[in-house]
Amino acid sequence: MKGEARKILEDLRRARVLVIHPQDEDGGLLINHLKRLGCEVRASWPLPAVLPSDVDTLFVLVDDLPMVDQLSIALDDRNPAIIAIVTYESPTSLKAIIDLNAHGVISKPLRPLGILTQFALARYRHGYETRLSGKVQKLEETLKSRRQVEKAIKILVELNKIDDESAYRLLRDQATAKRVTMSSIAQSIITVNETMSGLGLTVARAAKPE
Amino acid sequence: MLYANRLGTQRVSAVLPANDSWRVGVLFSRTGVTSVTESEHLSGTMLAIEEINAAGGVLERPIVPIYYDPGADNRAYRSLARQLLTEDEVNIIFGCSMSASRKAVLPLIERHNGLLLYPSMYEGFEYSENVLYTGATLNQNTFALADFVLQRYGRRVFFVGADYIYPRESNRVMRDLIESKGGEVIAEHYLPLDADEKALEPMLQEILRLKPDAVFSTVIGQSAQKFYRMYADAGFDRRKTPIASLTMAESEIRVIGAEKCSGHVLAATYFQTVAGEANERFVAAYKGRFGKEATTSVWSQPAYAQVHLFARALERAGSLDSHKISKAVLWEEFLAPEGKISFDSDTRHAWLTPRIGVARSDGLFDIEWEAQGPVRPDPYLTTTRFEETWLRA
Repeated sequence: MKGEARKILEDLRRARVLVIHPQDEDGGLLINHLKRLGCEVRASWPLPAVLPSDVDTLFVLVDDLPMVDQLSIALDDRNPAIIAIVTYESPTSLKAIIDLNAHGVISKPLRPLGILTQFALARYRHGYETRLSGKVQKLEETLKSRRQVEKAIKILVELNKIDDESAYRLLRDQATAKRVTMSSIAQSIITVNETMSGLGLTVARAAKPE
Repeated sequence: MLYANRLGTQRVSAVLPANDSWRVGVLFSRTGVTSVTESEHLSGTMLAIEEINAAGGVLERPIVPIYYDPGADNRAYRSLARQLLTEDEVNIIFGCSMSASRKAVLPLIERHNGLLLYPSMYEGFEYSENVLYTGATLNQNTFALADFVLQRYGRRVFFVGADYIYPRESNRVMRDLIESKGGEVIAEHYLPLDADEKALEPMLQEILRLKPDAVFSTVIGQSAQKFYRMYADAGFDRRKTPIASLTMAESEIRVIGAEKCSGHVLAATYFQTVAGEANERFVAAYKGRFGKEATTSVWSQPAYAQVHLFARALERAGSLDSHKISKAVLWEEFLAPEGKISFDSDTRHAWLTPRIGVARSDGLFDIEWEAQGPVRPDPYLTTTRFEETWLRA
């Protein structure tokens, strides 16, 4: 627990914030308050065609769905923390913040109280989401590679009359020797087998040297 | 002196038609757990209003306070603030002490576009265009105290606090400070706001057992008074192992008994013993008004100063409009008893001079350290560095 509360604030102060909102009273209030909180903040309106490369947090006025589409084009494959600024609580507005996958929301008219909370929450949730999706991606890769390895083992067992354990060891030793992953060895076995059977042939055991 | 003989009644109403006077609201508790310190807020406020009126008022009209006693109850704070803003048609309120009371009235003040002048030290992390913060925030009292305690008394510090936001926040910051400067927090405990002797006793036993170099206490109100009495009776050598706090000032010490408090440490932006003519005048006026035994403190002085700042802004603005007063007051500079004070327009908090005092046997403080001048308020701790040294060893 100790020092953690301070880390939340330190994280906010490392944030590179872009505010996409007209330069009116609300816009001014938000920018001044973010500066008051000790953040580096830039403003832009209308929506820029491309996001500045170092921006990692967006406060963005979201009032309609076309805006969300434009924003996702501007974002390209970037993935900043997003705090939506909403004027209406209409179904359209709700859909827009969901489509945008906003990590936090502040409502107009803006007031200073609550901005820090949504900012901190959005940064945290964004970080957590990024860690989670990294984990999911890794798990998916592991799962895929296991499936390939199992398939390759099956091919080796059928064609060479060896048991599962020996087939697995062959794969592993080959991967180690060539310094590649087991799944890539497995994949090449699968590919070769498919190609050969397409030609009406099988992969035969190499003749032992005399 | 419009209110003077009416202060005893619950409500003091305006005796002049609205356009012949400047009507303002005052909300401090003269009863309840924080009665001593909040009564001082009230005394400072009333003294300043009397002085201004005695000198002819503002633009030849007197300031007329409408006072209610919320009894340290946050629900009463809220309903009395509503009463002031709606029934009494007042928009300027001098009031609140604990953060919970400020948070209770803030939504109403914002909705009615009022202006709250808040005189107490608090934990920061707030900004409202409907509030002016005259008390110290953490960088103006807590930071220097960490150096002082570690350098003078030692590195093992025992924390005890009342269980609400100010102690929790100031202890969090104090722990970071002490640890980043090589000290150690050997225990951290919280007690209910109204803790009695029975609740305090185990704490005292643990202090006796762990033998810290100093105690950092954020216990407040009546339980703080009990705690200091019990600490004295337990026979600690207060010169070597004092209690350091941000709140235990002259008037509460007088209630506890000065002989039971000598040696204890207070970090505050004002002491009665601050040098200078402005303070001499203030202390004399305060004693003249509230009795020669009365003492001034960091509770009465900011409340006094903020009324004077308000009156100057009112003179400039010529209207009680919250926005106009806010705009005008941010330009003011006032030679308060504690020294020159003014508001920082970015944060709406006051520039104040941090000081550290050690209690004497007469209940006043020897000021052992003070900053070279007013320090910029940093309520969100954006620029204040934890590793920074405030006091040369």
